[in-house]
Amino acid sequence: MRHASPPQELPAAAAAASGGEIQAALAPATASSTAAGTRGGGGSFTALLGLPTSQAMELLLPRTAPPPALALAPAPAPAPAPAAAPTPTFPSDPHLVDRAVRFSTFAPPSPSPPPPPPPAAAAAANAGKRKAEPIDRASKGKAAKKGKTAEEKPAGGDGDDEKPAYVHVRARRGQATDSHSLAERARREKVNARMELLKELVPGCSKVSGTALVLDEIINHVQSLQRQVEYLSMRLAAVNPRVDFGGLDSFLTTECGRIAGFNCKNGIDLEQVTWPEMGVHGARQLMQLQQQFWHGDLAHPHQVASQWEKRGDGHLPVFSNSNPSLFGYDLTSSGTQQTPATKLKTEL
Amino acid sequence: MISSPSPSPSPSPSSSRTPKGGSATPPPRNQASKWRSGAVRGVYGRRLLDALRATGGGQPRAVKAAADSALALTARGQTRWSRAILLAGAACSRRRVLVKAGGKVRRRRRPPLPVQARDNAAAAALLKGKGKEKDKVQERLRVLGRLVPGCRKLPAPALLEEAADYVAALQMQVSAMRALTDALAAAQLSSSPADAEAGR
Repeated sequence: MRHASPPQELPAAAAAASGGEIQAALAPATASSTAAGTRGGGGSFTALLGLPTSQAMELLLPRTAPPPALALAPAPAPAPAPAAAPTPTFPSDPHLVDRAVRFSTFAPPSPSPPPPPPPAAAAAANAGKRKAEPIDRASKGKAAKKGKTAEEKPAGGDGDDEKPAYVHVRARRGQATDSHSLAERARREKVNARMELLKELVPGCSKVSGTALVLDEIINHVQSLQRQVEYLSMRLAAVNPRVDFGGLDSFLTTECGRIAGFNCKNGIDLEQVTWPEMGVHGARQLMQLQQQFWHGDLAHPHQVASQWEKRGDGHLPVFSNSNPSLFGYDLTSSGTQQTPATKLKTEL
Repeated sequence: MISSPSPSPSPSPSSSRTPKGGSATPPPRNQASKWRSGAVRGVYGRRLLDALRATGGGQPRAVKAAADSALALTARGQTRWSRAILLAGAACSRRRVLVKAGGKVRRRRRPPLPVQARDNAAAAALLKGKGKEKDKVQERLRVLGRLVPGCRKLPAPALLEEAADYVAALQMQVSAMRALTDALAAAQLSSSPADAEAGR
């Protein structure tokens, strides 16, 4: 039977399981782990809902170890909840089932899980939402625990597109648990987190308390930075006409000395090609091309500079010719540059 | 391979959850670290030099525009302000090229924009203060939105995130430009007496 299967097999099997094939796979093989293996993958707890109850429960209830939650996520190993394994709870009332689907709570575990069909679905839905913590907290016996189902962010991160996205908020003791206050609390936490970031960034904000004053400081800082940029640009403009950009190599090496030099065949072509592109196509293409350009640039940072120096006259006139197209967005540049760009894509 | 069930899984999800602050978006990255790495400074330095070569000479406005565009480029178009700067440069002379479309291209977040716009007053005000203080905070948020390019009608959390990235980027820009001007001035000082001597 299923229960005899080694615990490690289950997560792997469930992880391998994909949606939709479960019923078909289950029909012939009742409780073998191989059947579990053929069931296919993460994120398809909805398929579990269609399962006959006992098999769903088998799927969900490994006696020894981890969790039903695996059926869902691309089974990140830490995610599954150990404590839930033996006794997930199955509320029998339909409205409780409905709530259980939306909320990630578990009633105190019962020794022998009764298998009515909707609870299996509810359990599947609940279990599927990576409930390590709710299970732990439910087992701690806190009353009035409630939480909105969370936006799924399994440790793998990019496994599932089928799961709905919710915001996971855990209500603490003594706090209101209706959905409005939960939403407000979530928003507040978001904003406060970003405020913390800003406070760290802006010097002198840590001692100021109160949002308005902190925002004041931030505004002052931004204004001062912008004024500094203007001042420095004025100085740079004053220095510019008399500089022949000859000693730039030394400047670059001092600025970014520890950047590893990747091997770059097309460092120059990247820049020659992409800059004229921007004028022709829409902003979207601009972003795409720039992304490619940036990828390439970051991959070959140091080589580009040295190649500029080597290419010298042959390169610079071309470069300065195409450069105004970046800043002036001259739309007369031809569209035939597309092929170099596509070649650029493949090379990247 | 699943390790044996232990309490360790639970701290990690919960601890990984806390920095996110229960947000519906990817966690706010540490902007300062992103903008302070040597690689980014190198990228920006190179772009700045290109932009400076392209400018027609000693006009501070052109230099500033070039520096800002270089900064926005270095930001890879992942933030609103960078896109706004680039598109402002793009759309200056001719047809206003798809400003809105360009602004929505590389959203890394799911954009519940209507909801956010609707909740802007509520979110910013309700959560940031009580009573009459909401107005001050609201006012400052609006000022901040005007300061950061392309962020005028942004709701509070997005605005704060953009502002954080913008501040980090500005700091990097200031330090890079300062280093550049100092280096150029020093190089010029050292070279011009030599030129004068050679010319004589």
